[in-house]
Amino acid sequence: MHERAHERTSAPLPRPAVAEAVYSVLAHTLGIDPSGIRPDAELEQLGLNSLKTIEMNVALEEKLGFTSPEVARPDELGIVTVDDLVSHVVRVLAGDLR
Amino acid sequence: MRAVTEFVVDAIPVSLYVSDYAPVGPADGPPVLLLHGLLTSGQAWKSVIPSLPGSRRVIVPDLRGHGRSAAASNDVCLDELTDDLFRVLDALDVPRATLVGLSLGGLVCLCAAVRHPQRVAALALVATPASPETVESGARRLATLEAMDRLGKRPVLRGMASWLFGGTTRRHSPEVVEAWLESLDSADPIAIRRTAQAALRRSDARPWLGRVHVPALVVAGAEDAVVSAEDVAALAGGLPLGQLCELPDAGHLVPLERPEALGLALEGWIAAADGRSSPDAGGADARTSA
Repeated sequence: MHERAHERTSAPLPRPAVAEAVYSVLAHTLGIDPSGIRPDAELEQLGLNSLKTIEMNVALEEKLGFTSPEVARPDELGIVTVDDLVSHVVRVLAGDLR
Repeated sequence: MRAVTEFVVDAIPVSLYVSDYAPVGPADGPPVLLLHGLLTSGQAWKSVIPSLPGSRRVIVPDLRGHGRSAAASNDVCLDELTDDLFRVLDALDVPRATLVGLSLGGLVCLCAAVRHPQRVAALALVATPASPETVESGARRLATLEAMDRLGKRPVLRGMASWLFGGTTRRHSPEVVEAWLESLDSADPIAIRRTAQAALRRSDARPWLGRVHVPALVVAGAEDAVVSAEDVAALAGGLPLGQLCELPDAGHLVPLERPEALGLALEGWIAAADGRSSPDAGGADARTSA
């Protein structure tokens, strides 16, 4: 099951490091300049559709070494903005969503 | 328990795999053919069949490129899949059947009812769209299927699961999602894409729904994120003998998510439809759709 997939072997990444990874992956996935991504920007407005969401998830999981604990759409997880996404990944990496 | 015979219809251009469930006792009406949609197989109906009337023969084919049927050698269209459906009925000497289809399977059943209404006793269209894909949505769906090649099949299917399954199933029955993922481990993405073209390039069904004078149950999953409630309502409303049935706690893959509820809805529908259709039924009747 996916719930056990994230197995932390060291201290969780600090939020700034997670944010940097998220911005980098978002920029690459959406083909935009990372310096132009604002924390309060809405992901949908940035161009995150269903396919881009899958691409982003795969890239984030690979970069940060985790497996998303839920099969869920971003809106179902309350992820609307870039900052929401960073907060979500921080929680997943901390194991809070298991 | 029903006796089941599994065989291959050696049709041209592809061989089709079919499971044929015998009725329990003497048959008292036309057989029921269950046609799955994209990214599933005849197995999708496994838990629905026990709820269907035991007195009916149940025929369950696999679409081209799905389950154990052979893959198409090229992109296919709805007409070709409809040809396949009639090949199966012909091979089994079935002149007339009740057709039940999920999503793409529903589109094929609808096509069959337009082409040969005298061979369709009744229709049940589950999570079936009436409107076509837009250029943008069709391209995105195809690109998602193509993404399996570079991102891997499992991660892409897992992402797709969040749209295909309702939230209730994903939260409370994750084993259903997991079993679906495992069922596709050996699936061929190229074969899936060729069959998917039939759905992605479909025309707008709404203008000709009025010609389908066959009792038609339109089943919607209340949590379907693929086919909108408006689209399902347009289908039910456009069919002269259409009736809408919404199942709560189901997304797009209704037979996997609410098999018993779907089976019971179909059972009641099949019994009721018997009294409202005949092989030469042609006239319009009062609309029963919601």
